[in-house]
Amino acid sequence: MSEELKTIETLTKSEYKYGWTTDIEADSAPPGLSEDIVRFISAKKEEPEWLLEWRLKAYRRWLEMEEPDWQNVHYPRIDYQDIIYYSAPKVKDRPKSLDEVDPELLATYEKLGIPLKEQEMLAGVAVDAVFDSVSVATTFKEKLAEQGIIFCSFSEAVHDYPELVKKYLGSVVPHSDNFFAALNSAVFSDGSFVFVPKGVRCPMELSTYFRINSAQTGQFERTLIVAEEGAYVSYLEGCTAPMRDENQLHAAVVELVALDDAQIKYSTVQNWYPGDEHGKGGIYNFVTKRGKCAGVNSKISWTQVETGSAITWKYPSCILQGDNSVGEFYSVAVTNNFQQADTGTKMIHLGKNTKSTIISKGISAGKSQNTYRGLVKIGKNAENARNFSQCDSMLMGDKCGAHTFPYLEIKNETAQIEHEATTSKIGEDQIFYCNQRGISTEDAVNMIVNGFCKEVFRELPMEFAVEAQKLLGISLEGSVG
Amino acid sequence: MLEIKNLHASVEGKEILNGIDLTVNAGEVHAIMGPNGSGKSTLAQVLAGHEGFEVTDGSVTYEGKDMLELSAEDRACEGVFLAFQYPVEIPGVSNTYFLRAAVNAQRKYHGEEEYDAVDFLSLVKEKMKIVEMDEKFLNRAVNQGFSGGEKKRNEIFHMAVLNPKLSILDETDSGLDIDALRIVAGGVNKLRSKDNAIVLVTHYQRLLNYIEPDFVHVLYGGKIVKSGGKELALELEDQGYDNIREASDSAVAV
Amino acid sequence: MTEKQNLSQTFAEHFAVLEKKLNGKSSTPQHKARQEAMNRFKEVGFPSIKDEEWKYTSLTPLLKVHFQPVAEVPALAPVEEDIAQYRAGYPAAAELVFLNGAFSAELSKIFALPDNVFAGAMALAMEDNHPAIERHLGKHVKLDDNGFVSLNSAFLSDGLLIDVPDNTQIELPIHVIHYTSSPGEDAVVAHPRKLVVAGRSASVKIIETHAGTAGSSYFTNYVSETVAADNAQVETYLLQHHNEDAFQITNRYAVLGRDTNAKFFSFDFGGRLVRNDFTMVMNGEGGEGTLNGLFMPRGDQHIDNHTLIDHAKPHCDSHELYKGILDGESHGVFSGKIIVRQDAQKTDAKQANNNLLLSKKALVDTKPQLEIFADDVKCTHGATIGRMDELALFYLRSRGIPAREANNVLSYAFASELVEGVSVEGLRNQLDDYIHQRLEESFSQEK
Repeated sequence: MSEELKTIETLTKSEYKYGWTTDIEADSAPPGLSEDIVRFISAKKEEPEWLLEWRLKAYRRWLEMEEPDWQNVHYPRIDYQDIIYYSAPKVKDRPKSLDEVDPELLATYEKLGIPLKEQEMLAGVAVDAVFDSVSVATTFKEKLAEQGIIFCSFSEAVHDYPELVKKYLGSVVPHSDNFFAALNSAVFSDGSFVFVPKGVRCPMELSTYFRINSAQTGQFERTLIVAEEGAYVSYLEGCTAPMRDENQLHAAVVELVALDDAQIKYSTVQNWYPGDEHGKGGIYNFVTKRGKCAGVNSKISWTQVETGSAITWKYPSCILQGDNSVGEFYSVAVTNNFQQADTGTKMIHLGKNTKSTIISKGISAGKSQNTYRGLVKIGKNAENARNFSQCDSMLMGDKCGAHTFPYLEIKNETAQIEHEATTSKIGEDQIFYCNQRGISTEDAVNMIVNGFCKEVFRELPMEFAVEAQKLLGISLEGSVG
Repeated sequence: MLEIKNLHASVEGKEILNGIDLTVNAGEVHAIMGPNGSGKSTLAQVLAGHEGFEVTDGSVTYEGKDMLELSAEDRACEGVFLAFQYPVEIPGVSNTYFLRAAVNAQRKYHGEEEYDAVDFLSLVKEKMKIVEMDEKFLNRAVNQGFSGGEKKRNEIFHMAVLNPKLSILDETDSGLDIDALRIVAGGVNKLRSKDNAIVLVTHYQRLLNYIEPDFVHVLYGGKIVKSGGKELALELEDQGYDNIREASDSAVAV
Repeated sequence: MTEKQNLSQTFAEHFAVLEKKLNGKSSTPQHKARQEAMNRFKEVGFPSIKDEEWKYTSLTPLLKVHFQPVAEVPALAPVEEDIAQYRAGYPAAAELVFLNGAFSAELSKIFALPDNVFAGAMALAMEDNHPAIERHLGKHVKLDDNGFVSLNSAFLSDGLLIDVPDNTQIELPIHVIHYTSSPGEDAVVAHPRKLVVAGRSASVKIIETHAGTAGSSYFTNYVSETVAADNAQVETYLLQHHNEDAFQITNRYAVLGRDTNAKFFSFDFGGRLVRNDFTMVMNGEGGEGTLNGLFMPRGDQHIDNHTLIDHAKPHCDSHELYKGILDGESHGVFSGKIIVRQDAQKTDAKQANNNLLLSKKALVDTKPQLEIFADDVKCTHGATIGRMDELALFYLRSRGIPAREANNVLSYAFASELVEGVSVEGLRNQLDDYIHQRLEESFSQEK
C-alpha cells in the first residue's frame, strides 16, 4: 500500500465523540412487542381512543407484513421481541418550564453542544430535545406562539391540538406504508410537531435533537410538520447515541405537508453511533421521510448529512401534487469502516410544471458500502415536469464500494429529465498535486472532501453548515477540525 | 542549484531510473527527451517527491540540501515546482482558493505573513496575463471541465503565481495546438530568468522551436545516454530514437 | 423475391459490371479485397429492426427504391452550377470535389497546400503505391459491423485521401464536396470513401459537404477512416445537405494516438433516411476527443446517430454532445455508447444528448449507455427531450418580440453551443445563417 493510502487510512480512523451514556433512572416497558405493549404506550401517554385504535390498526397490519430485502444493505435478522419499545427518564410530573428539567438531562445536552437554557442558546434556533422515547424540553415555545406557530413535542400536540394531529397524522405516510412505517405507527413514542399558520414566516430555525441513551431501546419517533398557505419554516434534526456493542433500531417517520405557496426546508445532520472499526454495534437507521407538496407553488427541500449509523436506509421523498410545486433533495452520505448506507430519494411528479432537483454525494472509506437509490416518477397528468439529478461518488481507499441505482418512470412525454453520475477516487493523484503546490496532506484531504460536498453544504442553514463540515472532518480526518 | 548523482528509482520492485547524473545551474534551461517508457516522467515525479517511487540509490542535492530527505510539500515550499503531465481535477475547490492555500502554505513555511483574499486577487490577476488566461478560470474548480490545453496553461499560471526556483515541466507541450503551444511557451519564456532554472521534459522536439534550451539530454533505459545542445533535438526528430537505442543497447551488451 | 433480396441482387449486378470492366486486373490484391468484401456483404446482408442496434431505424423505404441497373451514372457529369452553391466561399487550402465517389480534377482546386501533403484521389495514390493506402486503408473499419461497410469496400476504387506528414501544419481548412449525381429516372447508388492520415504533431482541418441531385432518391453509402498519430491535431466537419428524398448511410472510424486532440462535428440537415455510425477509439495515453453533432430533421425525415467511444488507454478525455431540433413528423435517434476498458484508468468521459421538439408529432429515441471496466474514472451522461420553454417564449414576447422571432431566437440558442465550437470562422457564419433560415422555415409554417 502506498504512503498516501496509508495516510488516508489513518486519517479516516477516528473516535466517536458522543459515545458516553447518561446515568439516569428510566421508566421502561419490558422488552417485546404485543397489543399490550401498544396499549401500554398509549396509556402512558394518556392518548385519546382514536389514536390507540390507529396504533392497533397499524400493529395488526405490521404483523401481516414481510420485512423487505431488496435493499443493498445486509444485517442479521432483527428480533423484534428483544427490543424495548418505551423508555423515558423518570419524572414525577412533566416539567412546566426548563427550570424544572432534571439537571442531569440539561447537562447531557450541554455536553452534546446543545445548551437548552434559552439565554445560552444559538440565537435564532428553537430546540425540542428528545431523550430515548420522550421529549424532555422545548425552547422558545412562547415566543413562537406569539405568531401562532406551534412547536412542541408530539405527545403535547396530541393533547393540546388533537384536531390538527388527527387531520394530518398518516396523511403523507399511511400507517400501512411499509414495514418500518407500520411498526413506527404502532409504537411511536414521541417526536416533534410543528404547525406554521397561514402567511407566517417562522422567524427562527426549529430544531429537534434526538438522543438514544438506554440500552436495548428502539427509538420510534414521529415528526409532523404542517405549513399552511404561504408559510415558511426551516427545520433541523440532529442525532447521537452512546457506543454500545449491540445494534439498536431507530425507525422514525417524518411527514411534511406544504399547502399553497408554502415552503418547508428540512435539514438533517445524522450522527448516530456508527459501530466500532470492526463493525460491532451501531444504530440501524431505518427511517421513512416523506413530504407532500399538496398546494400549488409549494416547495419542500430535504438536505441531509449522514455520517453516523451502522446502517442508513432511507429515502426522504417528495410528492409533488400541487401544480408548479418544487421538490429538492441534497444529500451527503459518508460511510467508513463497516458502515452501510442505501439512501436517496423519490420524486413523484403528479402536478403540472412540477420541478425536482436531486444532488447526492456519497463518500465511502474503509470497508464500507455506499449506495444511492433514487426514483423519479412522472405521472401521466404531470405536464412539463422537470428533473435534474446528479449523483457523485467518491471512494477513499480501495476496499470500499459505491453504487448508483437511478430509476425513471415516465408516463408523460413532455418531461425533461437530466441525469449525471460520476465516480472518482480521492487518492494519490489529488493529494500529491496539492502537496506539490505546498499544501499538507491533512489540509488536502479536508479541501478535497469539502469541495466535493460544497453543493450540499450551501443548502444547510449557516450554523449547521459549519457543524456539518466539522462533523465530516471528524468522520474522515480525525485530527482535522 | 540541482545536482543529481547516480539516481536509481523503482516502482513495485521494477527499476525505472538506472543511474541518472544531471547538474542544473541557475539561469539554465535543460530539455530531457526520450522515447516512451524511458523514465522521463518518473524522473520528474521523483524530483517532486512522489512517494509511489522508491529511490534505491544515489543522491539529489538542491540548493545545498539533501532533497530526498524533504517531503513533497517541503520541496514545493523550497521552490521546486512540477507542471504535471496530467493536471489533477479538484471538484468544488476554486482555482483561486487552491492557489491561495498553496501560496499561504509556502509563505507560512518561510515565516512570512499570509495573503488576505483581496491582496491575493490582485497578485493573481497580474499573473494571469502571462498565460493570456481569462478571469473566469479563477472561479472555476481546479482543472475541472478544462480542455487539455486549458489545463496545461493553468499549470504555467500556477508556476507564475508560485514563482519557483526550479521548475520541472512534464510534457506541458503534449496535445497542444500551435496557438496554445505559443502561449504556453511564451509564458515560460517570460518567467525564465537568471535566478531560476527550468527542466523541460518533452516527447516532441516541436516545443524546442519555441523555448530554446541550453542543454538537451536523451534519456533511455532510465539513464542519460547522450547530451548536447539544441541541435541534438533536431537530430532526434529526424532520425528517431533508433540510433540511440542501438548504440546504448549494444553498449550494454558489451 | 423480398425487397431485401431485390436490392442485394441489384448490388450483385453492379459488382458483376464492375468486374467485367476490370479487363484482366481482377487478380490484383485490391480486387481480392473487393471480392472478399462482396462475399461478406452477401453473408451479412441488410440489418433489420430486430437487431438491437437498428431497433429504431427501419430500412424499408430504402429497399423500395428502384435503383439503376449499373453502378455508375452514364457520363453526364454535373456542371459547375450544380455544385456552386456548396463551394466553401471562405479561405481554404484546397477544395476537392468528388462525384459519386470519384475525384473530379476539373472541379477541384488547390490553393495553398504544403508540398509534402497529399490531398486528392485515392485512385492515384493506389496506383503510386502511396504508403498510407497500404498501411491504413480498410485497416480500421470492421467489415463485420454491418453490411454497408462491406458494400462500400466491395466498390472501393477511388475516394479521398488526405495524408499530412509529421510536424506539418495546415492552417486553412481543406474543403471537400461529395456530390451524388443522380439525374435519371432511376436512382443512383454511390459509395464514397475517405481516408485521413495525420502524422506526428501534424495538424489539419477538413470540412466535408455532402449533397446531391435535387428530387432524386439516390443512396449514398459513405465510409471514412481517420488515423491521427501522436500529438496530432485534427478537426473534421461533416455538413450533410442531401435533398429530403435521399438516403445516406455513413460509417466513420477514428483512431487517436498519444496526446492526440481530435474533434469531429456533424451537421445533419437533409436526407429522408439518414443513419450515421461513428466509432472513436482513444488508443493512446493523454488523448482528447470531441464528438459533436447537430441534427435537424423535419417533415418525415429520419436521422439516426449511433456513436461508440472506446477508451482503450488511460488518461484520455472524451466530450460528446449531440443535439436534435425536430420538426414536423420527423424521427430522431441517438444511441451513444462509451466503453472504458480495464486499462483506461483516469478516463474522463462526458456525454450529453439534448433534444428540442418543435412539433407535437416529432419523436426522439435516445439511449445513452456506459460500459465501465476500469475503477478510477469519471463518466457522466445525460439526456433530455423537451419542448420550447413556454415561459422564456412568453418573456421574449412580453418584451415586444413577435412569437415567430422569439421561437427562432430560442431554438437557435439551443443549437448555438455547437456552432460556437466551430473554429473556422467562415463556416461558423454559414452555419449560423443556415440554421436561422431553417428555423425561419419551421416557424413560418402554420401549425
